[in-house]
Amino acid sequence: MSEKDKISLEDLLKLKRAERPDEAEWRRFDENLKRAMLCRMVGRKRSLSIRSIGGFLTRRAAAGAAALAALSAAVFAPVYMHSISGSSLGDFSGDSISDASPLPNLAASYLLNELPAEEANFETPVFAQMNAPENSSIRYVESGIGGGQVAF
Amino acid sequence: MDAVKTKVALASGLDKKLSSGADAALVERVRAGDMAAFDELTRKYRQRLYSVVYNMLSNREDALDIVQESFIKAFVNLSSFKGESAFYTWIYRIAVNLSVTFLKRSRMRRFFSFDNADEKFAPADVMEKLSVENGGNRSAMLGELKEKLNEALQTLSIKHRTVVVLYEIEGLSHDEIAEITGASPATVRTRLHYAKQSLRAILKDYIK
Repeated sequence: MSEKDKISLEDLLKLKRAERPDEAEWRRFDENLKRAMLCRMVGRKRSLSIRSIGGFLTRRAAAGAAALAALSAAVFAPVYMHSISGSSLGDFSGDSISDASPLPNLAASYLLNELPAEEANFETPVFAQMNAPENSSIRYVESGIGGGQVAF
Repeated sequence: MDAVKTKVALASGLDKKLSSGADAALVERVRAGDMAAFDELTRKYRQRLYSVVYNMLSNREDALDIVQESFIKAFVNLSSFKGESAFYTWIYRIAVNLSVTFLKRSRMRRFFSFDNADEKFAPADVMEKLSVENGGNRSAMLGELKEKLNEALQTLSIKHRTVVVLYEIEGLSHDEIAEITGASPATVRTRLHYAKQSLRAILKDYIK
């Protein structure tokens, strides 16, 4: 390109202003924008509704779980304290030592196994170790919220 | 000459103030639920936003998507616009931020520009300088220059490209660019200087 054909950098950059969509493209842009805004607004309204319903249910569930946990603690804690006082890690078989946890989860649900007849005492449930063997016939109360088990 | 420049600057400043007042009124109408007011704001700024975004991305389709998203974001977040800055500064900032995010995410930069720049929008004095001695083939020359410029702009970092686009193509001031980008005016000047040096080095065969 010869020297006289050359322009300055600033002039070259100004040429970029000429690059623009035509009217047809702007019409399409306007239509798409309106459609997208409508979808966004509907989506926000829907998600706000879902969130507010979800929030309501969560609050109710949380209140219920808290009440249940408090009730479980009041009922089971004395018995549990009695049952763990005599146990030690040596009571566990080698495989289950790493999984053993002395503390059951007090938030309980109600999946039950059978207690041996001589230990059955439905008035004072007994807490079993978390990883008692399968054939222990311990009645477990499983947690519906937060996992863990409580046995009686 | 200085008096002329001062007059132009004052006129431009006055225009901006008047425009800013008009925009504030439109924003209030939108807040009151007047969608026609938002349509007016869209029509007023879409081309300018498009110009910024397109020159940052060098891709027409992506630029239109980003501009659309900018207006949607502006509409959804209009309640957070407090009027401390001009509306156009605010919406420019949204568009620039979206463009920067897009550029950082996209691995492949596709160049897709217009086949024909609309010459009626190009500055007349610049078009004149594209010499008729080039066999009168001004369009071909324009196309070649545009291509080279696009490539050169893409070699700049995002922040340097942003200031070049906003200053040289959009004609914004250093202070306005500082407000949009969150950098200081001094940083804007430094970046602009560096960016233009880089572009001159790359385009030395095509520019004076």
